[in-house]
Amino acid sequence: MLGSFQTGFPDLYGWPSPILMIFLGCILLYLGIARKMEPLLLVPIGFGVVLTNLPLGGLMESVVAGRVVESFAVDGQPAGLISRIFYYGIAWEILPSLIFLGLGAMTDFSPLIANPKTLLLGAGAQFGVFFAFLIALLFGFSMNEAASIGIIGGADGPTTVYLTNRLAPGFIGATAVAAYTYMALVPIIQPPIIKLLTTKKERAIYMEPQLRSVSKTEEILFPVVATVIIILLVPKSAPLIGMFMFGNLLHVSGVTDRLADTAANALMNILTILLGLCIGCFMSAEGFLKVESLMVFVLGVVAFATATAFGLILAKLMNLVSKEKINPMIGAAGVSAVPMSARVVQKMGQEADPNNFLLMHAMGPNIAGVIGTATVAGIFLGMLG
Amino acid sequence: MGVDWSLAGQIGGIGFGLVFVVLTVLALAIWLVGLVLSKIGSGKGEPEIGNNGG
Repeated sequence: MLGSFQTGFPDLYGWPSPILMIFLGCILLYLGIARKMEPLLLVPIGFGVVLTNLPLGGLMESVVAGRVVESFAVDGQPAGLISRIFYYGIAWEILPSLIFLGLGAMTDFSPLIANPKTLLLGAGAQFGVFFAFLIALLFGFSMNEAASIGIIGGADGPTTVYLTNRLAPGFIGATAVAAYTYMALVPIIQPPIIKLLTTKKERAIYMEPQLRSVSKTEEILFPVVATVIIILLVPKSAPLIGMFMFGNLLHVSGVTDRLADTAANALMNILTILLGLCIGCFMSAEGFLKVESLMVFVLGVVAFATATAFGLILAKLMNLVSKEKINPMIGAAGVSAVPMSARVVQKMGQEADPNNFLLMHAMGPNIAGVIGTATVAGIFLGMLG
Repeated sequence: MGVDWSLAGQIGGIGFGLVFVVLTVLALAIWLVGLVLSKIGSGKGEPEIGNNGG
């Protein structure tokens, strides 16, 4: 009478145990809800982890050679609710690219346009990505895996998901969670590195709070000019850079307010839910509880810390050749955790000199970091993809 | 599995160099656009419409 009915309890035990992953999912939910750390990301991811590790739910089922398997299979056909969303949303590269559309619609490029040299600080911070790439190779990862680990240094979740999906799909859960976790931990990770590499006098370097005026024409020309230049030089960056700049054009053109509003709000929210759930559901016990996952987290923090340090060092080097001194802390905002990095710089700047308002100065490298990381993803794809 | 360190070095070196080149070219282009627009604006004697960078 019961047919093939069975509960999920017998499958909860053994190794690797789903119970550990359910516990990890609950920790992510706790961090998101109670600690308010990146709640828009950690809540869907955490719930997805819990959901996918409850046995026999079939959310990530795939059909491979006519047989149904419990986990997502790159070479199979999706058969579960989340595996379908994952397959058509992430494996087909739609969700990360469209998230860039929403990010573009939410981004104000005027601090960058007002002070274009801050783009160099965004480029400098990408050193961390390449440094971690080389370190990951030393630890025995393949080129594709090392690139996917290195990109965590950019602290940009959608770019990490996009690149890992293309180069090392088996690592997507670990790299995505590492990237989003380190984005959330920016206020904890960056201050000690900044303090280690700067004197109090350097942290107190005053910058005029007012940036120059940016005209509407400049704002409109920026996304068009940036699209043409970046995609001509790094063609494989087109999906991310193209969507990012298109979203921004909708925002600044002044004639597509409805589209910009949808991209920045409703669409962005839908995409965030889908992406977060998919990443969480990719973290099954057998796929995630591996030494490699731990290594990804360790190397990810190396990448992020090195990116912070090198952005800062580059700002100090720029001070050696520039008449107009910049506060070197704004170089640390060259990682693309927008706007958390810029806020950290603002807070530390005020601690050193309460009259110093560095937020808008730090937003320039911060936004440049987003462009830089997406460009680096295109470079990796061009060389390895 | 051995690592091809020559290729890895090329990816690291050329990759980092390329991202610098891309963003430097973009910075120059932005600066140039701003310069041209300010010249045109001052030629016409029109006030700039815009925000204060925020």
